[in-house]
Amino acid sequence: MTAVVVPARHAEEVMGTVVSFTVFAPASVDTRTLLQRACDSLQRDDRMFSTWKPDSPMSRYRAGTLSADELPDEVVGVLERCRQLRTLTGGWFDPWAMPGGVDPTGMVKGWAAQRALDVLVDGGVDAALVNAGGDLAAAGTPPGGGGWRIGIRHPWQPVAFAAVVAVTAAVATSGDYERPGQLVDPTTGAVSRRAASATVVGPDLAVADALATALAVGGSDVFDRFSALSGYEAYLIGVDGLEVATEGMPFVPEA
Amino acid sequence: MRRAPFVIAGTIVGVAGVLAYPTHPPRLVVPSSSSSSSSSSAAAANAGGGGGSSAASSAPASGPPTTPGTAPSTAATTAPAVRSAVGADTQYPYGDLAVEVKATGNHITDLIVTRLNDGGAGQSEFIDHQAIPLLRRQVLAAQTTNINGVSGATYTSQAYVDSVQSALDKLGIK
Repeated sequence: MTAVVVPARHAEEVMGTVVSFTVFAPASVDTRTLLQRACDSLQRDDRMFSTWKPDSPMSRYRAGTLSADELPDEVVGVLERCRQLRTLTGGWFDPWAMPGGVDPTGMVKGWAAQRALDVLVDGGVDAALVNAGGDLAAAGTPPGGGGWRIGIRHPWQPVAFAAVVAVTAAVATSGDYERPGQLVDPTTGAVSRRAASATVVGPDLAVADALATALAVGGSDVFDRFSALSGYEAYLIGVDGLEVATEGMPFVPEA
Repeated sequence: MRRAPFVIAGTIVGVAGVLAYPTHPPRLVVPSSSSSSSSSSAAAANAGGGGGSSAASSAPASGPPTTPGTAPSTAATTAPAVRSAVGADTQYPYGDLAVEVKATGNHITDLIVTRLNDGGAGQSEFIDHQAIPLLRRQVLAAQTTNINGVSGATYTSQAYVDSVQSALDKLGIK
């Protein structure tokens, strides 16, 4: 039997969820310190973007007590990326169409998790996985090879998987089971019911997160756009249970 | 669409739990040994009871020594040793849970939830009676968690998988 390499694990309460870390690192790397820095990054981003904390720059911007000129660079950058993603998705991802004012939450969780992962990678880990409440950013290859195996939550059976995918960078899944009413159709302002579950795999979790949100809201209209989206794959489960996936979706055959 | 009413009900409960999380301190619903966190001890075994029948439980939990947190490897005895380890006490948005893994050699024989908090979110019934038994069966059947994570908010399975995986790490089972 081959020796088992034991990863460091950590769970951090932040952004209204729990973010869990799995880290494989050489002995020369101070994993505990690195994890602390990654968590600091998450907490800092949460303080900046939280729409639940009234004193966050994002909340104050929404409330009109902070002008666009006064926003931190990170917020300006995220809003700019949101604009690009709004265009890319044909308006199906639209933080400006959310009730209660501009709300980039559909991208920020993935963006912040990606930044936390970058801290670990820059610190010299061999492989790492950051799971931000069901949106995951990965780097490196876990021991044993084959990439990170990620189960896709089944939309109607919370503890079953609809599929398993092998991920090298990022995967996000969105569905109305998570936060009903949060999937707003920007064209109507009403709650969208076009998809039961939408999963996007690709190189960057901020983008994958936004695309999964768009796919869950827009359903097949957004799915059809993926042929033009290089590097990103889509897996859509309709409200009728019908499943479609782009050709490159890295499904792992069931054992 | 006959399932829709059930799905919606379940979803509302789930969201209430998530939203309530920051303001509700976790509440213990299944009391267990206080020392269920990482160090594996035979004393922690059987404390929670949630696991139901155990396939190969003829050996009492207080039997052979458990494998401590560090490195692996089965002792090269002829008869496979019966071993157990309690996985890390793993947080999830409703609270925290820990799972004990029992194994004969490298064969997983049982999984017992030794700690389960649901944060008062009303999830315990569902977690106890549906989620945990199903997850237990899946891991026993596959003989591995087989995955590194779960995409889509499914906090219970993620926490269960993480705790089981950390117990497997301790036992040196891949």
